[in-house]
Amino acid sequence: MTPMTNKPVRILILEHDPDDIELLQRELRKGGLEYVSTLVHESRTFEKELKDYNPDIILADYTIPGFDGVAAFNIKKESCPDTPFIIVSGTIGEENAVELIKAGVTDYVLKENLFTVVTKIKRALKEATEYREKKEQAKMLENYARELERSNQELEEFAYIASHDLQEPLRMIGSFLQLLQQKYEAKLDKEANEYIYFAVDGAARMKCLIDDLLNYSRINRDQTIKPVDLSVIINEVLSNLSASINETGALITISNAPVLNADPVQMLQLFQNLIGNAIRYRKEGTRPEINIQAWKEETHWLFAIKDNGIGIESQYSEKIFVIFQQLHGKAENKGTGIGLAIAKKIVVRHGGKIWFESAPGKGTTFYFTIKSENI
Amino acid sequence: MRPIEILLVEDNPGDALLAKVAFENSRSPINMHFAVDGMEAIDFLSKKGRFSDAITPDLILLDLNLPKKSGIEVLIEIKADDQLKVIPVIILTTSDAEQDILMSYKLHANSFVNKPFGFESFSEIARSIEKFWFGVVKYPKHD
Repeated sequence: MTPMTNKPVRILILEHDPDDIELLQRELRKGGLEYVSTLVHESRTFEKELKDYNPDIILADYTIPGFDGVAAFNIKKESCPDTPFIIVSGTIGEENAVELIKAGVTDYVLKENLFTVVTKIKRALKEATEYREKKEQAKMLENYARELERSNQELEEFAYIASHDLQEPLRMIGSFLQLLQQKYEAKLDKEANEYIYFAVDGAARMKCLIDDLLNYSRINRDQTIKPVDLSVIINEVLSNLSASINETGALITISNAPVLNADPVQMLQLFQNLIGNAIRYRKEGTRPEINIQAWKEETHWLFAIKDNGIGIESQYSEKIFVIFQQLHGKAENKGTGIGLAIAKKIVVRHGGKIWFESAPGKGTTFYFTIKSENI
Repeated sequence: MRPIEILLVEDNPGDALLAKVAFENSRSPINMHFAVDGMEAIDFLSKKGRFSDAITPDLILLDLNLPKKSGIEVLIEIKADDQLKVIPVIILTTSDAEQDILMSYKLHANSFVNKPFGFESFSEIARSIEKFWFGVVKYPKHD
């Protein structure tokens, strides 16, 4: 990577005075710098050598008849912006030098201090290498980020198309199994009917999975932000969940439901998933009590959905938001493992965060935030 | 009483069979006619080619996703025809996209129904259609 360690340093020297050239070369040799160099003293050859010689560093006199260090620097800035450029001059004043550094010149060496030139070259090369490496790293990171974004998009697109196109054949399987069940139940024996039952049940569960997967992949696809009255949304959720609310006798209280800017369909999904979970994971023999609360904070709305259910162990705090992760076995479970992943994606899509506080047996409170300035 | 004539425009033979069986359980006698794409649907309705002695249906069940001529195109043609426009058209599709629903009603579809999951739901829909379109509502007589 560092030219100083492998190869001799390639120096492009812009100087017209033979004495000065001699002095400079002597100083470079004295400083123990392993180098090769080429000399130019006017604009055209300078420009040409920048390309052909491809120097690691440029040493330029400040004043050359018909050409000067500043003009040379401007040319260099165009064609090889990252190559260090050191002005060597007997005439340059401190003030000019400061201006040049500000303009981007790497360093300057006064002719009376010519013995410092090698130190300055080494430092400039070291800095240039570091800069180049940092730039490469940044570019690499940028590429990774872009790649990741692209593959994420591809995955989402895949999930959408797959779940969308799977609906049709699954509908056929489910419908004809049901038809078989309905028309031939009496003609088939117990065993055959049991087989059909498992097939029908499997198709129905797969339908829930595909629906959820489709909803999940739609979150970033379709979003319409508009003012949403959450009390209306929550009422709709309660009506959608009325079967399980009636069955379990769940008591749901709403302390505060604001109007905010959000996607109404996604808000419905979010509240339905969280309230639905609170009912689904109720404690055996205890009437589910669920409270919905909201607070306005500086940049966000903070929501809390508190239940008295079975609770979640803290070790699962990250895992439960990952798609297809379930804490319960197939037999006891009634969910698809996508609900909380959908909830999280919706919250993130609305500039917020989601987390929970819980102790096993003591119920769970899900918290989430929604940015109040969603546009 | 003459049987009710229903034209089902559907390219999926599975769905066509489900619809046929679902309507078999209906109270009134129903004759189902089938068109497998948009072109056939138009030929049937305009009694062209092999449909020269086709009957004018009392109701049209129209899928949106059809080969050759889409359901939307068929709908436009039906509703632009002075004779055909009085026949109720029920869109029967897997699509629940808001724009498809809106577009269908803007083009004067008479209702929009999603293909259900499961035969039982299909039967329920068939019963609702029969009850509403051939029990509740009145519309002009043709022929």
